[in-house]
Amino acid sequence: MFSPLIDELMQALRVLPGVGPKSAQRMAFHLLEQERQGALQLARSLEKAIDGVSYCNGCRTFTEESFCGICRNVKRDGRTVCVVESPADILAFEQSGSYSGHYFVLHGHLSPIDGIGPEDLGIDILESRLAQGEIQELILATGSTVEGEATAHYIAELGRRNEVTVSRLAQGVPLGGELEYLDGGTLAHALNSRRVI
Amino acid sequence: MWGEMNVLNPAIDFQPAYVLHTRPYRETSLIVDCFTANFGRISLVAKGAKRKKSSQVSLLTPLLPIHITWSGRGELKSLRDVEVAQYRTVSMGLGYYCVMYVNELLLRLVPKEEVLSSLFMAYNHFVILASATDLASQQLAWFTEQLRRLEFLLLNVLGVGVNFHCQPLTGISIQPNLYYWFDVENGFVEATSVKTEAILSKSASEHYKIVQGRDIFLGEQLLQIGDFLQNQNEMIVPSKGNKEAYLTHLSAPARHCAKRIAHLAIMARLGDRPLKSQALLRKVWHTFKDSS
Repeated sequence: MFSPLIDELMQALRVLPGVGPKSAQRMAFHLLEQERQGALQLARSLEKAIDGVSYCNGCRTFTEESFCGICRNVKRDGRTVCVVESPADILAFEQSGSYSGHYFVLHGHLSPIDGIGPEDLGIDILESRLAQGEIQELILATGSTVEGEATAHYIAELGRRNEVTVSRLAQGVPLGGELEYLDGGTLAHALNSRRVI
Repeated sequence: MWGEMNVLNPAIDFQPAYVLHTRPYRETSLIVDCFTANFGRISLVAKGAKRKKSSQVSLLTPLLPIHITWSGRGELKSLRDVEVAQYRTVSMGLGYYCVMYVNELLLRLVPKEEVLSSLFMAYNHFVILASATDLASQQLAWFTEQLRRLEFLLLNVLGVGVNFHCQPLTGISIQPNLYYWFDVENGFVEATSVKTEAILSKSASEHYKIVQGRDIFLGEQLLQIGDFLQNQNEMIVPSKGNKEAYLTHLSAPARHCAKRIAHLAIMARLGDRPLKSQALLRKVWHTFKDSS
């Protein structure tokens, strides 16, 4: 409908999540009309990031260096490793301000029918690190879905084989939550993992 | 006006079902494959299931017995409502991977919207077993027998069941001391032309042999499998601590043969595309088996 270059730009913008044809059109015109400088900056940053960013050799989070800031930080305790599904989970933990160990990012979870196995999640890398004996505790913080649980269970088995303490993030009543609005599954979980006070 | 629309597009209410698989659809929706008791395997769109406020996504998960309500007549239906039939704590060990393997089998082999109530009952039973059992190594053999039972039932309801008691081509019964070829088309055929005693060693590790690209089995094993599959009284869930409930019914050689025959029959139905979950199941099986 528009000139080939504009069509191409709109098509390219649609790779972003949540961007359909109409949003892509709006974005394209906005960049061309009002944000030419910003658009150039965006193009350069995209190119630099795609070329430069890959996985950290320690925890598999995104970084342009061979080891990320957390893995390089000598104040952090490398003997405790928290296993998460995505780099966004690291951010959530960091904001909680209550964790000072290292992380390991899976970038997904085991999904048998989709053919996603341990190697696709870097679990073989984690296994070799467990075998080296530098890790003393593994905290499993995968999602509370069936796939997340299965992934946690699989990694727990590897941990136990290597005589590493394995723990799973507690699940149950949210802070400030009222019981009557809680779904049965969460309540059952909370009841099963209750603790003595 | 409303009445007419309801007649044209009636909702199917509160049907017992299990989720076999979900995949993302657009930004916030899911396409859900379900196995239902009364309508067979169906595909549904769960609109907005991935939105933050939706409570559906936590229920649209494998291994959880649910009741679903849907509407639509086409191949892809619209999910209207989902409720939990019963909350269960699920063991995430080997049982989970076995259920995922069975789920993929059902997705690949069971035609859509064909009512298979007996298979649903057996599937339900298998899921209960798989989620209740924390499989220790001594229960593995028992559990594989349950898996075989489900696989052969699936083949039966698909119309390609294996007859372990007689040779389909001749109608002659299978004898315990004779050897039989197996192929998917013709079932078991007595191996008269080869001196099979010489081919099959009696060692425990070799319970069947592939000769000239075909599999050969001893009748004794086949009859044992046949008797095991006929005996349906075993559909009970063993209570924890009751060790006798986990007694196996097949000898190790027969179990070995049953696995091979199920594999051959299923592979023939699958064609060129192997199951994705099988490779993972194999890997996980060894991980868990070694450590338990």
